Amino acid sequence: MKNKVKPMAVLKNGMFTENPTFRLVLGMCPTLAVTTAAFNAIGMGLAATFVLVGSNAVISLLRNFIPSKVRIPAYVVIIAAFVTIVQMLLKAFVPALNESLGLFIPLIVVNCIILARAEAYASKNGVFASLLDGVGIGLGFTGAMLIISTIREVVGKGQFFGMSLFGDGFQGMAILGLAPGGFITLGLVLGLINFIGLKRKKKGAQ
Amino acid sequence: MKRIIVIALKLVVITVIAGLALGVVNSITKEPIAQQEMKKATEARKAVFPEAADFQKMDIGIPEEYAIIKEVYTALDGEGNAIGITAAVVTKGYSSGLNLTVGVGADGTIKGVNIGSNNESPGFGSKAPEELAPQFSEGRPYDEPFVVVKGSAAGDNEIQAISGATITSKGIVSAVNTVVEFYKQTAGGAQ
Amino acid sequence: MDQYIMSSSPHVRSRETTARIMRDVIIALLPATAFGVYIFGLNALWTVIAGTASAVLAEAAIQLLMHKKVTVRDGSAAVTGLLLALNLPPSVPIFIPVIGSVFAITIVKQAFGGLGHNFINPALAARAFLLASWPSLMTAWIIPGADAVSSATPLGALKMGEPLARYSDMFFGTVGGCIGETSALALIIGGLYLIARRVIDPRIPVVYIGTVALFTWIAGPSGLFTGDALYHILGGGLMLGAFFMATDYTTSPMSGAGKALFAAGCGVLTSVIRLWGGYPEGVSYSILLMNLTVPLIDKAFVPRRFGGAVK
Repeated sequence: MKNKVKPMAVLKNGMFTENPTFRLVLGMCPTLAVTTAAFNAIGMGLAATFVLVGSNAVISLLRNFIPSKVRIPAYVVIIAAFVTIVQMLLKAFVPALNESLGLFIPLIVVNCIILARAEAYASKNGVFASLLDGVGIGLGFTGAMLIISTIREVVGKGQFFGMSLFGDGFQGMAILGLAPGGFITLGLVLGLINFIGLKRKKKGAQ
Repeated sequence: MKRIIVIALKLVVITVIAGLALGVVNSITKEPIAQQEMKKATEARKAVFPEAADFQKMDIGIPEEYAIIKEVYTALDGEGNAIGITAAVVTKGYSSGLNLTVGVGADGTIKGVNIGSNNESPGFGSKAPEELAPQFSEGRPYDEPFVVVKGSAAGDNEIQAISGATITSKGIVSAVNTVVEFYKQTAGGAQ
Repeated sequence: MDQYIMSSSPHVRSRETTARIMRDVIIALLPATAFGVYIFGLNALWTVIAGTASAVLAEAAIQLLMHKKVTVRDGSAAVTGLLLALNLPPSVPIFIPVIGSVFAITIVKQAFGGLGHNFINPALAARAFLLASWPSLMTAWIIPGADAVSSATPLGALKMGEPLARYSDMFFGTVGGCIGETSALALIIGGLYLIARRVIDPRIPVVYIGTVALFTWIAGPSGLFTGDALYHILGGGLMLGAFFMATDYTTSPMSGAGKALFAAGCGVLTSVIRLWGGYPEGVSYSILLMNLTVPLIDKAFVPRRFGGAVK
């Protein structure tokens, strides 16, 4: 267990190898719900990253203190505390983001990515490694949502970060801003990424 | 038995620490949050009643039939005379929880409608702030109730529906009518 | 495989191939298509051509991409594209049928496994997709003959309380509406041809239209049994939907009883949407919704086994 932590490897693992959205397929609810605009996706991603880093660090610190029988309630309390902190901070200092993310901030509590990393990583690894894992997974989550939201915003509304791209005459594919558009976009991106992954694997095998 | 107590105590410790942390953050953010909310509410009132210099909360009971109206302010001009009201309304469009603020002037016209947070379908009803609200900021007289029409609106009391979102449009227009009715019945009569 | 229709046993040999069936469907759609182009003008023609051509091209392209056998010659993609185009308003810009056909073929049909594996009708799914994406373009109706004058469809007029269309106009098709849905006469001719050629089972259109007539008559605007059933039968896309969309092999039940239940469900949903829903017309949504119930209906009404004992 006393392996030396390779920071870059842990980061890369979270962002690509075990990308929470495209590889683990976790946290689908926020992925589908807030990716209507790139701004929301980044906001949600960073908020989730903050919670993830905080909860990973604290849970890793307390991993020998928390009795394994009640570890899930303990994790939930810790995660909920961080989420509430994020929500209060957003309300106080970034009200615009708070308004557009609205309901989804409290839902970070039940974001399975965070609970999954607490259970699968933070409870078994040191504080530093858990911190890095939180950053990597968080950034992977943010990046994945940024890709999906960029497609949905550009094609759906003709905008990128709220800026109009194609002039007033452009009528976007409004369905991409709705829930079915979220599912369709997620499915297509997921398929494309797996397709690329398979191609690479084949090349590696030859 | 002893193990259960130890486990419970540990959980209590975690909970208490989390609670303390929340208390600390809350004490930091309490003031800014209150300020933000005040600012937002004043801005919403100002947006629907630009002529008013000040607003004063109206402390009257809101009758049952106007239950969608949540808060009423009297709009005051520079000399402190009442020149109308603004009302914060929570109504139902396609989904519930549609917030809007309506400014009704004593001169017989609508001063403005501001559509706040809502759960209307993105791309359809959610276009209400850009497509429906501006139709009320032209000093429309409210002697006749407003009606929703499809296509181009002609009469003073006709509001053009958002295409693909007739239900949202109807919900908003009926809320505006309710506020006007309320002003005529209650606030207007009290002057 | 592509020579045959997907169905449970018995696999009786016949000259019925997908290509022959699709050719019959296209022939049956010709009167309605020709009439739509005749009354709505050139833009309707371009819409039909663009929809059909892009559906065929999209099918060929995605089958090449997925290293599958290219099966555009069976005509199923052309039928999907044509049906979609007939379900569009005549004034749409040309990108609408193109995007719709690409969506219908690549996402709804091929992504689920191609012919015989789609779980909903591709043309209708594409129409719903387009309606959700460009609601104003998809509901811009024009008066036949006069370019770019906006008008209400017969059902739209009914919903908004405007003057109603005349029965004769609705029967012959000189009213506002989608390119291929206005003329009840042309659609009935096509439908009868399909029934005569045994391409479609008459149960579905008969039960579907009958249910709508019964329901709209019973639930009339001024009390029970006062509804204008004829207006509801002739108006909107009911004829097109009942003869050409609800009868799609893949997305309708296999047994006779199942078909009747499926069609009755379509009829009830259509009537409910028309009478009390937010939209004036409900044919496409009700067929799509009933498409989703087909696996359950097939489970409940298993076709009698060939040669099995008659109960």
